[in-house]
Amino acid sequence: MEPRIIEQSQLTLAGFSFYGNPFQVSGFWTEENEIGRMWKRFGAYCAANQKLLSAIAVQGIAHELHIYHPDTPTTGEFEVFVGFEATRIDGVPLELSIKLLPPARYAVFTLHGRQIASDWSKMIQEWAAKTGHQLANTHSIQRYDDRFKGLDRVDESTLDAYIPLKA
Amino acid sequence: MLDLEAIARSIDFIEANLRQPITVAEMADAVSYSLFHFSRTFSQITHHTPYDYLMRRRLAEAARELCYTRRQIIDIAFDYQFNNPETFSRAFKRVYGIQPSQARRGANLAARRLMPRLTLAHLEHLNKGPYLRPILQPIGPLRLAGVMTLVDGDLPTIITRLWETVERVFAHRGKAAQPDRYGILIDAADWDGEVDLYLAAIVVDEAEPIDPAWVEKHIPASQAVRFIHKGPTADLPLTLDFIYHTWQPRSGVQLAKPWIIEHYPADPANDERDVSILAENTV
Repeated sequence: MEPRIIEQSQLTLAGFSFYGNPFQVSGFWTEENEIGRMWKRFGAYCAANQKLLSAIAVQGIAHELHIYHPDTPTTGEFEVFVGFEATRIDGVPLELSIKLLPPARYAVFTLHGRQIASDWSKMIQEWAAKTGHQLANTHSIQRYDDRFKGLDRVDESTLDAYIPLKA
Repeated sequence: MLDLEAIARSIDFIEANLRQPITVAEMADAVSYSLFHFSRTFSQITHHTPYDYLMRRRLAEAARELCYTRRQIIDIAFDYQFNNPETFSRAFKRVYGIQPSQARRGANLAARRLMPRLTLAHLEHLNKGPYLRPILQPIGPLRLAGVMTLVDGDLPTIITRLWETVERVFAHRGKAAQPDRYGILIDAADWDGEVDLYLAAIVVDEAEPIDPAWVEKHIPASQAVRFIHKGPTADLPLTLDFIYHTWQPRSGVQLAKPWIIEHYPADPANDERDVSILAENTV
């Protein structure tokens, strides 16, 4: 699994946020845990506000961020943010939160089919150890576009995982 | 299967380190999983997050020491990695509904309420399928008659023996139709010590006279939460552990009566049976 290395400029995302252990209810790849519920809320919100969002959202791409906090190694709790890339902040509706990711170098891994539900974080750690790249271990981004067909069709899907590298 | 074994190994690691300041990241490392994948897989298999499991097991072992030793409460709290007595008291009260000092003074804290360690058998049982999902449904009124015994040993063995006795008695009852059969496990908390009773019983009509050798128990019209137990009687404690320690704390449902009600299928070859509890405010 060889990644592309890219320089990403500042990324502005607008969406919904959750902090805690999202697998309290269910660990399955399902809509029943907090991540699934947040995606449902996000999807419903976008569908209901298409016109409003078309002026500020990069269309057809959604992001899921996992952000690690100082407590994360101890408790396993972290922040999950689901949103779209916003082209400007001033038009973001009150219901949405904004996340600004500073410019960074990322290793971009393209995951196919069953790789998506596998322990790819572990594979990335092994890749970093083998190649000498230093992982920032601050957050990760999953970028969903029309190549992702849904949780019920993970086998036919593709997504990109953006892993920040130390400067 | 690989994941089940890995999670069982991670539980070994947790259990060996209940008194140590371990982190979820270290649990993941112990089985060579990434933190995220470990957290998801552990929750999927055990129905607890890793941190929740760690804290509940620490509290269970701390509670055991409170009840059965004379060690200072503060020493027990520090031993199980609570930073101060207040944090320990809050967590203890949240899980058991009483303060550690009350448990020390002998307040009723049945051993069954202390979460046991999960074994590979628990994990396999939990992952047989979606059958343990609870279903809310009415039960009763039922008039039951049967034989009751004290559970003073291995529960599955006692249940099996009692039903053998009851079946012999029922065989002479002279009715053609196979009656509905219920087993009720009763936590007799008002007795001295920790006592469970088990009633093996059949449903009888209102008018039917009851043999003096039998005991009679009525289940009023109630709202029950029903689970399906799949597998032999020997695995019943695994289902009970799931109900008491995994499902009930999360659901917040309180028991209206300290009973576990088994309803046996008419076909003895069927290895599934209903296991129900009576939910509070519904009796």
